[in-house]
Amino acid sequence: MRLSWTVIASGLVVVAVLGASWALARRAEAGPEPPVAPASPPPVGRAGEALQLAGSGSNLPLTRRLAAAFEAETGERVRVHGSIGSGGGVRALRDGAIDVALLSRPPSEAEREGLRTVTYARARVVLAANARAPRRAEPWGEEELVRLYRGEAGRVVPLLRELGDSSVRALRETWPRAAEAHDAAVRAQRFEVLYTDGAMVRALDEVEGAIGLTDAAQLRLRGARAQAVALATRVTKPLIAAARAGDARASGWMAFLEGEVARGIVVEAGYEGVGARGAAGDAVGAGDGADAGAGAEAGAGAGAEAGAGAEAGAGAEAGAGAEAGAGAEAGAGAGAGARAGRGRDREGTRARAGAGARARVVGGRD
Amino acid sequence: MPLGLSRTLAARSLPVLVALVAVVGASAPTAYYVVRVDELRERGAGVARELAATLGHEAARRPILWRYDSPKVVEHLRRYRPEPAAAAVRVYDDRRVPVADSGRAPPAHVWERAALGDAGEVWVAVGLASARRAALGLALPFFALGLLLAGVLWLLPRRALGAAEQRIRDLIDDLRASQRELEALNADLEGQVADRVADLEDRDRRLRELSARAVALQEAERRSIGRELHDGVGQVLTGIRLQLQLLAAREAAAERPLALVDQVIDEVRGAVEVLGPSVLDEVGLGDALARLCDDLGETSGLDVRLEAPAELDLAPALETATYRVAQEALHNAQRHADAERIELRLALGERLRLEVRDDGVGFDPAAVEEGGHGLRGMRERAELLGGSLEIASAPGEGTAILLELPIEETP
Repeated sequence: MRLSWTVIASGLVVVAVLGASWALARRAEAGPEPPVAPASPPPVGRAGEALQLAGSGSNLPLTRRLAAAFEAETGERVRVHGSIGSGGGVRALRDGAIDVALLSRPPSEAEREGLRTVTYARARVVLAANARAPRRAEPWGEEELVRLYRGEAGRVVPLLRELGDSSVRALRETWPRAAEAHDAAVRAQRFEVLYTDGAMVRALDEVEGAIGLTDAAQLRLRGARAQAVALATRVTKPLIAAARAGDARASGWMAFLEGEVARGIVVEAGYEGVGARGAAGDAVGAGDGADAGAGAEAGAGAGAEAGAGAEAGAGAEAGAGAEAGAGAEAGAGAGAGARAGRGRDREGTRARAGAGARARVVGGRD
Repeated sequence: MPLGLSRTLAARSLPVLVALVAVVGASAPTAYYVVRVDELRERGAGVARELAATLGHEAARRPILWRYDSPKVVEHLRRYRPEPAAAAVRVYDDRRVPVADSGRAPPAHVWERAALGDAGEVWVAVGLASARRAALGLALPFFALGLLLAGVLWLLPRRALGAAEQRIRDLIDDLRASQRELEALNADLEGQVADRVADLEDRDRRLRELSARAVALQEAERRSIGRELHDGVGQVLTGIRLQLQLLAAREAAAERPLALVDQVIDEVRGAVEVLGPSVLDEVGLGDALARLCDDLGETSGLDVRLEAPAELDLAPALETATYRVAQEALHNAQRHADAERIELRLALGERLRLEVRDDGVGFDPAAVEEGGHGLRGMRERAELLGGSLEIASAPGEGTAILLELPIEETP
């Protein structure tokens, strides 16, 4: 009898101690829960009174040029916002925050629904290297890209784009193994990942040995010193404008994109015009890689001047959209060495160059 | 014989030891878990604040469009400011609509929140799995430590208790040895006492034999003297009396001597009767008892019955004692019992057995044990011959007197 009572007492003690432990743990874990999204949220509101354009950073340099021409031609004010990505552009368009979404990839079936799209240019995807890197005439092949992203390419600093980036997406259609090697490197955090085209271009300029995917025209328009090296195949990505079907306000812009003036600006900026596909492609075609690379370089060199012009354009655009103009380029220079995560500092660039070293580049607004 | 002290100790100390194991095993992991959760939450809150600062800046710059870029910003910051404690991030705008979600929160998590000013909120899910694993990892060694401490706390008194138990066992063994020695001594003493008792009994028996023999000899001598007096002196006196009767018929002066002779004859008869009932010599015990019964029945009117063997060949001492006890018992029944019926039963076996039973008023033997009703004399006669006398009576229930005498020992 005595033993049974002691067993009961022991059990009560164990229950009390474990119960107290459980209560303390539960108390430590107590806290609020995130809100439940409303079934019918209120509208976001428009980003501004002018014609609002936003989307992928790949589209921005060319679109700003087009916007300046559109404003000059129609007198209608256009505001080109900083990058919010292709998907962000579509979401903002559906929310009514903007009038035109800019995509650097084909929209998905779901995204396409209820939208009108115009492909107004194609950007040539190239591999760009820091200007101080040894110059290379021959184009890159797929196996070389695979080795590059595996970290087997020697004294270079590969730079990566985030998963789902439009340049990598375009690369995947031609060289899926290279694209997969890129994504594997991203997932393994093998090299630095850059989240905007502007950040990529700045990193290519500032990090010795840096090498990464971008498009040739951006190098020109952003005035980059980085050298473009052609791939041994032709890889392009579309620049697409999307508007809500039947949106009268955006219809003028969409029509403008399909016009000759726009096509001329596109080709002049170094992009492939949709209606004149092959004009630029012949110069950098897969069959003539050396020439293509040289052509691209020449384009980049010319682009330095063109980029200055673009900045002037952006400056003019500041009246229409100060955010777009100031955001990108000012951050690229002034923010060098600053760390990410501190508002404006995010737009700076911090790089650690050197053989085999990882570069840290923080993207800013394009 | 196990004393059970260890079991008692275990039973009494079990709750304390279990409490010790539970407290040691649970308290440290719990404390660690609470501290660790606090630390993780603080780190998660730091991530939330950092994201809120960045996104808040973006929201201030781009009040509308910041939300569409927030997934990239969140992914960007999480990649370059990795914080394992932040398992998932959700960003809500001012409409409480989620605009960025880095993925599902782990099963064990707690949320930390930071505001983006008026633009929205950042919620960071802090994963608790690592803290739980670490706490559980701590639980095992601390439970082992608790068991170790409990074992030490149990073993130390148990050892002392074991030593005490051993001493108690030794004492018990000593006690048992002493007890065995005492038992041996007792047995020896009992043997000695038994020997002494046997010796005493032997002596008593021999004494009783001697006594019985002496009594028998005495009785025989008395009977002999009585017969001599009866046959010798009595006959002479009877002859003298006859002469004196004849003389007194002629001489008046002879009246006086005749009276004296009669007186002497009566005294001689009395002496003869005292020395031994002459009737025994005349008719034997059986008939003597029959006469006693007949005489009593005739004189008192009582219903007096006798059962006795036809042939009796007993020593004179036995006959005398039996006759005297029967005589006394009948006398008492007649005088005190107010009885209507008296039964005498005489039986012979290894012992002579005489029972005198009446249906009278009875009495309390304890009240008259000492000397009353001639009982002492009857008992002394029995004991002198090595026999016994028992009296069974109670008021209103009659009286039974049982005489038992050894036959063989009596000469």
